[in-house]
Amino acid sequence: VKAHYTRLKGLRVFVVEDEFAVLLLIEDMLSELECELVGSTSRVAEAIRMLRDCSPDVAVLDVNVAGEPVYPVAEYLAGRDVPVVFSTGYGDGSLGERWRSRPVLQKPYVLDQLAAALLTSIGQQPGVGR
Amino acid sequence: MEKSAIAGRSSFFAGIPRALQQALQTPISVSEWLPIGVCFCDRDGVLVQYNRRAAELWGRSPTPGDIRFRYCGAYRAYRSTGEPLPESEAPTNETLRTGRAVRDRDLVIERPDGSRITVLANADPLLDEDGEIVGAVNCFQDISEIKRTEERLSEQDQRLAATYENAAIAISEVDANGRLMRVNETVCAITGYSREELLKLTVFDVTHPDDRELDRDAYSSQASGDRNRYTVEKRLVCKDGRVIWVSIDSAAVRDSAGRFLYGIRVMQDITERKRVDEILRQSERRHRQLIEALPTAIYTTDAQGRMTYYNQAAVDLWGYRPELNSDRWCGSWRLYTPDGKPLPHDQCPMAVALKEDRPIRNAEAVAERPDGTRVPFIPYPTPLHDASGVLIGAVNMLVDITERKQAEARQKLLIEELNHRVKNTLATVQSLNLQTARQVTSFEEFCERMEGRLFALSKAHDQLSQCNWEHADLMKIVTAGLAPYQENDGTRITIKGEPIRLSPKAALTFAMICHELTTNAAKYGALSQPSGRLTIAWVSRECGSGRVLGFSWRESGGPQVTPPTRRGFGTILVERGIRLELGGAASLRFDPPGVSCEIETPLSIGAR
Repeated sequence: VKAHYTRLKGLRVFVVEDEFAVLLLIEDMLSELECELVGSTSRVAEAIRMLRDCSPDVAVLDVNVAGEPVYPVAEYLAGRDVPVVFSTGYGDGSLGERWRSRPVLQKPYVLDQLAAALLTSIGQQPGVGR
Repeated sequence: MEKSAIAGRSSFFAGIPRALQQALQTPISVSEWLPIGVCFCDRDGVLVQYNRRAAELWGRSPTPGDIRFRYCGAYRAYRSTGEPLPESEAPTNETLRTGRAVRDRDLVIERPDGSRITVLANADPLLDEDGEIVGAVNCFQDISEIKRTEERLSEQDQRLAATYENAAIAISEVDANGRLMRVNETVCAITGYSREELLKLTVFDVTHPDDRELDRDAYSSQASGDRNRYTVEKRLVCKDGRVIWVSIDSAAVRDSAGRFLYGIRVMQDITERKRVDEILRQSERRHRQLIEALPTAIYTTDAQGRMTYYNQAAVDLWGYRPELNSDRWCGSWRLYTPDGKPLPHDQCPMAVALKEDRPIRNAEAVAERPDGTRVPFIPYPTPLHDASGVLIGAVNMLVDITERKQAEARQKLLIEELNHRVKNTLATVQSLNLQTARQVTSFEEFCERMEGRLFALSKAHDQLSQCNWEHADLMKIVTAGLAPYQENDGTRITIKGEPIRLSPKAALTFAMICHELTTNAAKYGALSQPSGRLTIAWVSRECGSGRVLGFSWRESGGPQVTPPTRRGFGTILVERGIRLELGGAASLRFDPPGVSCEIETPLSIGAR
């Protein structure tokens, strides 16, 4: 694990992803980055419900979960100044206008890409991260 | 001035019987003043006296009493028909011979200079007291002018008559009741009736019964003075029964007091014209029907862009019926450019085509209907010209490209969706790769396990592809990986369950779970030895708003089971995958008699 990834150590991450295998992959990557997975779900409504009881430092959101856009979750997190990283199987430009400035991970992605996206997202959010 | 015959009267009279002299005495003196020629002959026809006017008419002054001049003083005389006048036909000769007056005899006198005049002669016998004929008097006047006028008139009459007879159009004169009074040859030729037959008929008798009233009403109003002239197109029934079309121009001839005298009716056979008209009408009707029936919107305008025609497809496209000869350029309610900006009607492609007199191609626009719906279309405006090349209007065809646009949008969506699936699948494979790598102890084992997982995934994809990626049958998903382990008698593996349609996500999850369970059973469980049995069963039931699937996998008869020391991918998949992917619950038990797995999950697609 590269040196500057130490900034990610202990980062509390929330994941919304409806592909179980992909979730396992993210979990693996996060554990390698020594981040803490504080919650994961494949449903928008459940995500918002879960987020009431946990306060992540950053969230990795699959844009389309079970046929539903994930934006309500992003909106909820934005309201609480929690930075987000989007992941998508759709091409560039598929992200809603409001979220274009956020880091996007094109599936499939590797550890370095996830790490870079997480760093970018917490960098965009002064006072968050460590 | 001619020498008057009276001058030599006394000497000349000497030889004339007294009675004649007496008879002559008064008239001759008076006759000098008459504007007509007067001459006297004696009993033998010898010219004995004449007046000045007679000499003028003759163009000479014969000597009275000269026996060479008998009956007439003219140099030469002819019948009105032109032959030389025999002496016996001289009026004085005739009256002397018969004792009767000769009246109004036309003769031609030739003067010595060759000029000819026509005279009207009247001769009377002169009688003495005893009633004996003693001589004759001839009064003659120049009627050359009258003659010439008459001839001219007669010639005109003849010409008119000839014109009347030979005119290519039929002319008839008709009395107030419509009875034919006079018809020309063409009327006969057209109707097939002889002149005699026609003159016994009225114009209404030969008219087709259906058109009779029409003409009768018009003609009676003409005869009664309400109208002077009218034109009517009607059908006639010819003598041979043929029905023909004629056009009638009926004019009234009235006297100076305005009373109706007769009607002059000019008739033309327009059967051929009607036939051609009908062919044209039919042809136009056919074309109109053709255009009307076309599923493509078509309309035309005049050179100013005003609507002159549109078909039903155009109305359907516009959702609106524009006003003919008023609305201009395009019949759409509102227009937009393909990128959604308002497009004024006078700038639409049709307007450009007309204003610049050129066809417009490769344009695209969007019409908005009054109900707010929009239709993207391609217009094909083409200017129309008359034979001399003058712009007379334009025709436009509007091709509705809604479906093409939708297909394009669908295509785009499809590609995006495909991209999404491929990327997700690749991410899944990436994950399987990692999970498999963690699980195995050799490269060979990795290849075997990885291959198995990829094929399980691939088979589930096949099932979904067969149903347009909409659903897959649980039975097929379950049996896909079990076939190699089933015994010929089908007793080793029992599968019981109603037909269940799984959503694509559920199908993939079940396929992967079944694969993992099968692999485990084949390696360590019931499928690893002949005595082993596997029973798979499922039922679905109503639960709240949807259906819930209860699925069970039970192994028995295999080697005694020892719980695994390490949680493999299969275990994790069952325990968490069902919950995460399908919102269901699952339990996996490694009891000594055999592995069992119970899954309960909502079905997003209901059972069949």
